[in-house]
Amino acid sequence: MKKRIAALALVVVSTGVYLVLESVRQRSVLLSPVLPMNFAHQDHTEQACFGCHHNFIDDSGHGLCIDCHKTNTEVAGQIETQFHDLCRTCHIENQIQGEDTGPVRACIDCHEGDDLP
Amino acid sequence: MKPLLWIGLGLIGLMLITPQHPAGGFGWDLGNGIGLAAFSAVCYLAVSSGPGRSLAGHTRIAWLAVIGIFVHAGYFLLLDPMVYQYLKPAAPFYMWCGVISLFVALAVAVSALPRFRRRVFRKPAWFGPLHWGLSTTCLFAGGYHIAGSGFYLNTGLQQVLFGGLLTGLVLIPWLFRRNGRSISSGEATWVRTSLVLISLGVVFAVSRQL
Repeated sequence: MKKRIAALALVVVSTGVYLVLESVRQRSVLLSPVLPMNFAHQDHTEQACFGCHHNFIDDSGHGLCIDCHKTNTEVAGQIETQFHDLCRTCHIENQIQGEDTGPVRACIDCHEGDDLP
Repeated sequence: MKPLLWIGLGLIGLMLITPQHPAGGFGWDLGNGIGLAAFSAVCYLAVSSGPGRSLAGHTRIAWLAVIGIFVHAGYFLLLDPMVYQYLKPAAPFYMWCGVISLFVALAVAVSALPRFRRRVFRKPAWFGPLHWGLSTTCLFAGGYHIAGSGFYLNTGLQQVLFGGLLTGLVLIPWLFRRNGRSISSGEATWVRTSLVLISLGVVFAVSRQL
């Protein structure tokens, strides 16, 4: 009986700790500045515009990506996952097919902060 | 030492079971290989816990695991200056888990030092649950750190198998003890264990380039 209570307490405490940490993390995302980026549109002219600019077809907002993805509390918490997945998925597929492609892992390869068009 | 090798090779194999093997470049994959080797050591420690294991061997593997985790983190901070962004509170949850597992691993090793243990835990019975709780936290936080990043374990099947492996690692010692058996850490010397861990790291990095 004692072990069951201990196991239940462990689950409750773990869930509580996770919720607190996740809340702190979400708040930190909203407060932290956007990292510098060296994304170049000219390197992505073969891609469908709506693959990234979904707001032009689903009417979910206007302006820059960051305007929503950094300030909207519903999506801001996933900004790292969403943007990294968007870039990496294509880059990894290209890498596996042996094509020249963009970065897949090294942070500094994208987050250098020069102002490419 | 064989179980450590098999666990490490099993994890490397698990990350290769899909036709797609994304690589982050040899340098990046080597850093992750070091982390994976350290995680293999943590897994081995979980399996070889309980009565019957060699305390000296268990302790040596534990400290090499702690060193491996710190080398993994330090290596990336030197390799890529932007990695420090992942130490900030806004980092994704899997990075929080990585940092948590690093400090918990250190706490497990330090709290098990005989001098500390005798001074803090006046009743030996109190030490066991704390040691088990902290090491299980380290195991699962480290596991989520690997699975959550989604780069090497990038399919649902791999994630499920990986989760099953971690759960099995917690249950195996319990099942063994119920049958009056245990898995020994054996003669885990510093040199032999270090060589096994370094080899696992290099094998992982090479396997990603194939």
